[in-house]
Amino acid sequence: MDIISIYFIALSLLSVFVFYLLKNKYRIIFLTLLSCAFIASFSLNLLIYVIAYSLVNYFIGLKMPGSAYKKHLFRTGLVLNLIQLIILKYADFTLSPLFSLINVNADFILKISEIIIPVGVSFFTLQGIGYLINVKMGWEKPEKKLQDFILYITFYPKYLSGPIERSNHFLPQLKVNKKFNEGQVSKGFRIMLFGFFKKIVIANQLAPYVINAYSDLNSINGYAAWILLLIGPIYLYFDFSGYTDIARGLARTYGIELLPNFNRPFFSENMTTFWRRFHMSLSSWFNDYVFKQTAFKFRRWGIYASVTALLVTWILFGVWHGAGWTFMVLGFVQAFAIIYEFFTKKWRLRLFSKAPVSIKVWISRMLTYFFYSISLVFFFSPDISSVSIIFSKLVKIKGTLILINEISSAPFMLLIYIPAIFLLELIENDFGAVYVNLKQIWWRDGKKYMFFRWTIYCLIIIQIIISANLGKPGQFIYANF
Amino acid sequence: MKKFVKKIFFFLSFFCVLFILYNTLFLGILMLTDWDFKKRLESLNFVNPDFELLVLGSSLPEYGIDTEFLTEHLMKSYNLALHGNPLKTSYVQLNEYLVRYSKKPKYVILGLNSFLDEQTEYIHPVVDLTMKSHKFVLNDIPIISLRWFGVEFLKKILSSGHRKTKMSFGQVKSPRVNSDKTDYDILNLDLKEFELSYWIGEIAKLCTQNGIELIIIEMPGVKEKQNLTEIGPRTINFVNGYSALLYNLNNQEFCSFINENKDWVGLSHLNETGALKFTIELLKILQ
Repeated sequence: MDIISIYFIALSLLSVFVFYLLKNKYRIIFLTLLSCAFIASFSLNLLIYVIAYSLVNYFIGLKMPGSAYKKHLFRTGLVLNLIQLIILKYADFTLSPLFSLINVNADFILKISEIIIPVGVSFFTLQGIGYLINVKMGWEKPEKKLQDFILYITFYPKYLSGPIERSNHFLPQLKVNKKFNEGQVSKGFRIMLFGFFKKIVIANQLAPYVINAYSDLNSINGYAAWILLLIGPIYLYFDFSGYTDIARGLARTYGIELLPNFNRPFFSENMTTFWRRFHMSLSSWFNDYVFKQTAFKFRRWGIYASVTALLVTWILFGVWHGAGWTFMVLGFVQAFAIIYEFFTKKWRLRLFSKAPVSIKVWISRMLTYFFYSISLVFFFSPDISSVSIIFSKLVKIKGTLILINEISSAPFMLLIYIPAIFLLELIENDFGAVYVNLKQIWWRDGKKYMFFRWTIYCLIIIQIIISANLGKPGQFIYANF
Repeated sequence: MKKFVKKIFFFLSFFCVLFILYNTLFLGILMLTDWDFKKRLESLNFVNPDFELLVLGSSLPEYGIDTEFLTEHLMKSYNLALHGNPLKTSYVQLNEYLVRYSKKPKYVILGLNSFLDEQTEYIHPVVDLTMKSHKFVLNDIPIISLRWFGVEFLKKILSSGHRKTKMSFGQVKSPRVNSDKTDYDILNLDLKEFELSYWIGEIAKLCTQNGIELIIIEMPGVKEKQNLTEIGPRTINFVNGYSALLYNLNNQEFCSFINENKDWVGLSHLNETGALKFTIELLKILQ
């Protein structure tokens, strides 16, 4: 089921009312069934697979504490999780070349992925592994209720593209009696509304330029390549944060809080901070379960333990996005930037100590944005040769600004909406007091204030209706992972 | 929860009222300001029109053929071309004109470019909305069906060049200038596409049946769109057995009269100076 569809919106809104009409003890079952139906809408095989996956992790987690084979159980669980991920997602990249070396036909492995249609596999695998690590380390008790665990894996608002939940954050919320809370539900609807706005009104209008250009790089000129480079992060941000808002808003209407994924990332002053504010649920997952564990394992190496851990973490982070050298380089480039920032921090502070703070801040922000834009070329490009095409076009600027003409005539309103949203983020980021004041004005009591708020919400809905009809519903980028 | 459901009901009612108001206002503004809308309403309300030449097609002939000049120097003309007009709509417009008005034109110029969008069954939204036989569906909500015109309206608010653009005898006369910075390519006109075009064939049939001479013109484009095929004219024989004359006025040599720095609005659209120059050349051919 497409999230950007009237069916999804209608069904999910209706489900909120059904959820609260049900007795508390049936609510989790209802959400679990709803999530299973959502997954089955992609493929029944996928649903069967996800339930089998949940059962394996559930039972391993259940058996681990107090078992004499705790380590073996954990390793078995980890290996099973990784093998299924490799088979479903990386078979073409890893297993096929391996099998061809020993003259074995690997088609049957590729077929598995065709039969199951592994939508959301990268996301639920990290959640499964995270749960096993938590239980093994004793950070969390194993979940006893099977339905709660299945819901943890399958919860439909976050199933396709996260946020990547932590079991010790998600599962305890299911134990709490959920009373209808008007403020909570309204807030959920509002967050969803802004999510749809970001996705449909902004990201979907930028999508044709980014996706078409990357699918036919020979047709673009140097100017277009630069525009493509600079709008890439904006497109990805509005696409993915739009999805996250829809997921978090919908979950909130059921009284479940999902982990945040974005925190005004384009106001970061370096890549280290950027990754604490962009796709936070993924970067924090890799930080906790890969970086810290690796750095601890190699702690005797001193500073090189951190460097090694960083490289391992970020290369895995890149590869998590997909099978291919481009994603590996994407991860490596991030690791390189963070290592560079770590080793040159004191030197940079000394060098720019006399520069005015605001200039330092804004130059740092621009450099961070620019670096991320460049690294995204590896994210969007289908292969390394495409990366070299786009970089060569960036260097040799030829032709005219045709893309600018197109941008200014089609998604015209973007030139208003994107700066407006970034202005709000800037106020929230840099002028906290002003933001609080604005919020207070926005939430003032009284009919005229409510009338004003409702008018704005209605105008947002109208803009969504207009934009939704401008083209085909766009796929969320992160639904590919 | 009851209170919340009540609140949602009030919000939805508020939304419906605002939605209707928004659409009414949007439609009203477009009817008053949009060139295509104004032209459409004007052409539906002619009193005994005696035009001898009608121009059909998309925005290229709408900008590029100066019907006021043709009226002054050749015969009474009107430009019915519309922005983004598919061929089917040109057929619908001509048919409607011939049914509605007793005096038939002598000539019809169909201005085309090489992007033959003939397979589509889509009808230009302004024509669709104002057609007699039109049945209203949900997609006819103005902010959906006419959203593109909303963008044009915004351009008029923000750019004085757009505001200065005027409509005369159906032609959109724009004073804006955008240089053509493209380079020549090696292109040839695909004549087969014309022959196989269902809707051009239907327009040819309609013209023949009404004693009208159809002249098909490949409109000039910017340098990278110009071709090396001869100007012609050549006779195009359509699948339905009818035929028409085609002039390839997008020939590189023919287009040499266009000043690359002064005559374009952008994206192969001629501004009023370019359109006048082109119409003078066209007049020589027609005479």
